[in-house]
Amino acid sequence: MAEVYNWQIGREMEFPYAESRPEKQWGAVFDINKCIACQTCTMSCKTTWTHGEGQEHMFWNNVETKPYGGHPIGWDTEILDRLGTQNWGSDGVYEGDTIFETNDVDWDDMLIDDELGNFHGEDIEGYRPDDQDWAHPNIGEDEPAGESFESDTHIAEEEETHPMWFFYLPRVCNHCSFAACAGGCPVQAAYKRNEDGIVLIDEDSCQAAQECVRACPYGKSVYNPAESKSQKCVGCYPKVEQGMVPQCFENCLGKIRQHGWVNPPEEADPDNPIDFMVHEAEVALPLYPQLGLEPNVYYVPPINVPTDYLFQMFGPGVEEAKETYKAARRGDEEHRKLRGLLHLMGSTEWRIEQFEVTDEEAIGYDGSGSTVARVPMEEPQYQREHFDAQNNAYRLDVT
Amino acid sequence: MTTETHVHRARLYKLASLAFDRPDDELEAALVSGDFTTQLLESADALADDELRDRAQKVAETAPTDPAAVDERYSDWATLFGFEKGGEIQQYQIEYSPGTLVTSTDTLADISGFYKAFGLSLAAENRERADHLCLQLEFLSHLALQTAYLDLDGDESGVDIVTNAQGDFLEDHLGRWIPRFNETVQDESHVAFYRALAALVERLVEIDADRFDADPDVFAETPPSPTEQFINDDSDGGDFRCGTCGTTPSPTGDQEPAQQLPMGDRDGPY
Repeated sequence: MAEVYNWQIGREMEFPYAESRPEKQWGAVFDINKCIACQTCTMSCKTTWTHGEGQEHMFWNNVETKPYGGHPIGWDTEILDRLGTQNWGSDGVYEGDTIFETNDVDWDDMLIDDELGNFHGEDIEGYRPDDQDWAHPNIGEDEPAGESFESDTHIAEEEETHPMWFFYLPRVCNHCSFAACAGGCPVQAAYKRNEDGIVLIDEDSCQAAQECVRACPYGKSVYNPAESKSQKCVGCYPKVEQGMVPQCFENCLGKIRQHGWVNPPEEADPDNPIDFMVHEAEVALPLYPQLGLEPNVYYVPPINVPTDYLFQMFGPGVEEAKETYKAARRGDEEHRKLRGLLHLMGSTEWRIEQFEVTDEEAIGYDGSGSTVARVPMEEPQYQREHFDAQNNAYRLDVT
Repeated sequence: MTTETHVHRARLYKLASLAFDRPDDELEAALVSGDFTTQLLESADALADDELRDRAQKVAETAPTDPAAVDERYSDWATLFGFEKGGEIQQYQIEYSPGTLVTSTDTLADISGFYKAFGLSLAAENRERADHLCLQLEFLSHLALQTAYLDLDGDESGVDIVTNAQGDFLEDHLGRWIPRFNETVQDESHVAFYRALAALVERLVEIDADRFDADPDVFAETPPSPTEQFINDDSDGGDFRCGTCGTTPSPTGDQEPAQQLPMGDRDGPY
């Protein structure tokens, strides 16, 4: 068996290829609590990469409303249905099957070659979305779930979650460590770059088998009918090579996104912002880790949303991640470093590779150690009188 | 192709550009003096294409010749193309292509690149968008004239450059939307002059595409639904595989050690 160690599910798992990690891995943290679904990320990607003919239906970056939105439609419920009910162990180890395991295939029996007719990856569980599934990127937008409540319902600050809820889920390719698109491609056109872990499709090699489209459970590999090639998010590698963050990160109005390198837990560096949030503070979690791909975009879960839904989406660490985030937000001294980092997020177009939090400010450094971002821990705030004597009026907003 | 051919081509493009633009004093003078029709017929005749000649004749027959009729043409133009009377026939390439202006900035950049490559820029008082019909026609007129000039000079490599540029421009831009533009004018305009003019430009572009071996992929009548052309059409439950692919049983044999995930670097896959 080709066994690889997937730390996100806490165990070894089967995969078509042997484990092979790049020198560095492109990674990201998205703070869902700050996303307002303005779609500026979506448009910055669209105008940069997918404005050509045959790409009209493509959104390498999309923002969908959960639980009812999704692009392609129902990508998450489709794959969860196909896997069926699965369980996490109480020790945080996933006991269920990943998409590479659920069809009980022995990957060693698969002869992997570059023959188009040899669909060695066809036992990766998946499906190819229907044409129409790509045609409604905004479906379900702003549709809430949960219980109805009265207009005078007051949600106390300490309240766990909201009775009625939705949240925005911004999504790009996860540049997975165990990429299903690369695992499934019959001609090995999908590959991972050794220097940054970005997963690309080599358009010269692509034979339009669309196995990557079928195998990627996140719906992030998309077929281009005008070019007869499959295409996907390229992680803005030309910018990443220059030490900059991708377009969708740089243009994010809510500053919800942090790009950087992510290490496996045993190599985690607490001064690396992504490692800190993923491995130290454990406040950022992978999307559907149970699928088995070890995705490299991590999410700070939304604190207003019931935990059961989030558990399914982000795995067993979700309760603690929410508590940690709330504590940092409250200003607990224990989580001061995290608070500083949350201030620093999205504050520069340069990739922050190291950071520190001093008494006064949070500082980000690039790969060469130069300062690229500096933000105060406390924003100066001016408070006005509640009563405006000059205009004989009460102010509703005094800060 | 003779030098004269290119001069006549240049003149036809220039006249078409002038006539499709917002009517002004220059056009009025050309129409009233009769120069417009004389030159148009002379050049169409010189290109020795019967269809082109017929269509030019139609333009000449419908062209206004007295100042009052030219004034009326201005009103027609505004009704069809002008914002001041809510004209709905678009004179911009991007309006005929799939996608929106926001997602077609690469097209504008490419067209501007063509202009820039030949040292051309918009006149200071002209604020038109690069994909406007008149700019594209004038650009081809310029290249045609330049071809004639270089040809006279015996500059073969120069002729090659401007010839290739005309072929590329017709294939990538003008040739892709002029048939659609012509259809729109025929369908939505009752002004014989503009209908004849659009038909003339369509023929001119068509014979020039042939002349330069250009094979423009004309935009679809209605921009296609994003997924319409997927080779995997699930509507009939079909599978796109040809029937031989994917059915070959995997060969069994000695077990190979597990291969690595396909890796690569900046130059592509290993």
